[in-house]
Amino acid sequence: MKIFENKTFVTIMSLILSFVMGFGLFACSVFFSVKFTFFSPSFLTETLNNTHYYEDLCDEITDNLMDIGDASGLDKSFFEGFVDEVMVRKDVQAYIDDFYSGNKPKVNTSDFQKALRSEIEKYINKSGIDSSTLSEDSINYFVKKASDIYASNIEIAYFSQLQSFYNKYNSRLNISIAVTLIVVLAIALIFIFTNEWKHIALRYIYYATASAGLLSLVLALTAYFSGFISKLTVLTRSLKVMYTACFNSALTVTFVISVLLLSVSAFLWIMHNRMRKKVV
Amino acid sequence: MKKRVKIHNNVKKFLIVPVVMSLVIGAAAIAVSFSVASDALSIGNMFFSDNQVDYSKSFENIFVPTTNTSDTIDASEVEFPNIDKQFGELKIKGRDVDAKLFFGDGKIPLRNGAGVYAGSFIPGYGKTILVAGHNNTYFNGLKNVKKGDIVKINTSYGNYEYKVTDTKIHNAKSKKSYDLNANKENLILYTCYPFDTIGLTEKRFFVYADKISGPKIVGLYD
Repeated sequence: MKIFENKTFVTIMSLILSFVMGFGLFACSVFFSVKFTFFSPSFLTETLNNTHYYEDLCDEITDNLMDIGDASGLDKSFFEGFVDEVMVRKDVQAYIDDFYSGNKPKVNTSDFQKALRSEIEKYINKSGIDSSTLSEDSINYFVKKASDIYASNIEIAYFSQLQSFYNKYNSRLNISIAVTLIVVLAIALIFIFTNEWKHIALRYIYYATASAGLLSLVLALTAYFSGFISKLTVLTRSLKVMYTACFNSALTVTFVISVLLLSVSAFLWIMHNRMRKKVV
Repeated sequence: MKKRVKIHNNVKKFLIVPVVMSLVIGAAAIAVSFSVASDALSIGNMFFSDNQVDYSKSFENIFVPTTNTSDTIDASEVEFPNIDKQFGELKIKGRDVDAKLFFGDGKIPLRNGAGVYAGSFIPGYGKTILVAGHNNTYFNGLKNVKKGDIVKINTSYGNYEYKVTDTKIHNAKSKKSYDLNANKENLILYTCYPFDTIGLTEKRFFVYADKISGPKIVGLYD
């Protein structure tokens, strides 16, 4: 095949393969960033544990319950210390588990309702309220409204919308990572085994890793310095804390991958120069 | 000279090629991921906005007591309150009602006082002013209100007085309990009923009052 002996053709083909490899590596860096952050159940759990999400959430639930308490004849002190962080953690975790297992996320409020009814009973006995003035319907309605408030606070805003995105792309993401890695590896092997002079193979692999590393770095730095995270608009402080931490972690993962790719490029460049000197 | 050319070629090969390639990859990535990107962008639009949410529990107070006794005031002199801003105070002498008055009847107003329903009017416009408050806090005293009592509303642009004409108990969903299109200035205060009970109720206690004094806001509808 004469065409493969044509130096210009081989160079163009090598550059195209290098481009495809670089594209694959960049795609991998994006896929890994998403895979190890937003698409990882343990990542979200750790993020929530490492931020003050639960403290903020308990405060918000307490404030919202105090509002309904105000409208229901209860003292402000009624809900002070009522919201149990252990129960909140358990219910949020169950909600996250539902989300990642593909089930419709829901909040079971039976423990909350039980605790609230018991607290109301104690309050009535302590306050010496005449039970004939109380209406069972009004109390039931209050408990229902309070548990609705509790459930809506436990639910993580936008998760129901995000679930369709997650379900749609989660399995595709795993396949994409596998296919992309195979393609990248195959091109690297083509470079190594089809070039008599190995430093030339290293040069083309360098082009791929360096371009993917540069692009990932630019992506992470642009996102970071554009200040888009500060424009995050969600309903509550606790959600802002959570989503900010998630976006920051995703940027950090992208940055780490870009540094890794650039380090590999630097190593390949050094190796290329050494091997080239030996040949010359 | 030879060394400089060599370095130049090296830079060309090892810097320019990856930079150009990364630009091409970036463009290709945008083109290839267009369908995914449109999904991601629609999700991004839910999360990001130039309008920042205020998470603080504090509120802004634009109420400064005034001694204005004129019969009219030009609309341009009235600072119309935004939602959750305190713009006045509401008092009923001898009935233990003394509350900060807010525009809007959401969480912040009802935590800190009484709130004017944003679909009604503020004093001075000659229309209905619908004010809500909780029955075990700022509006607990409404249970003592009688016909003929005077409700005072002080704002930065004028002080208003309303005479109580009636009190009634209605179902919460009843639309007969107020008329927001009334052509006379009237004040309606309401809270949950019965008082001093525990739980959410379906009934509301209404206090109706008609304006007896206070500057009329002119220049907006005239």
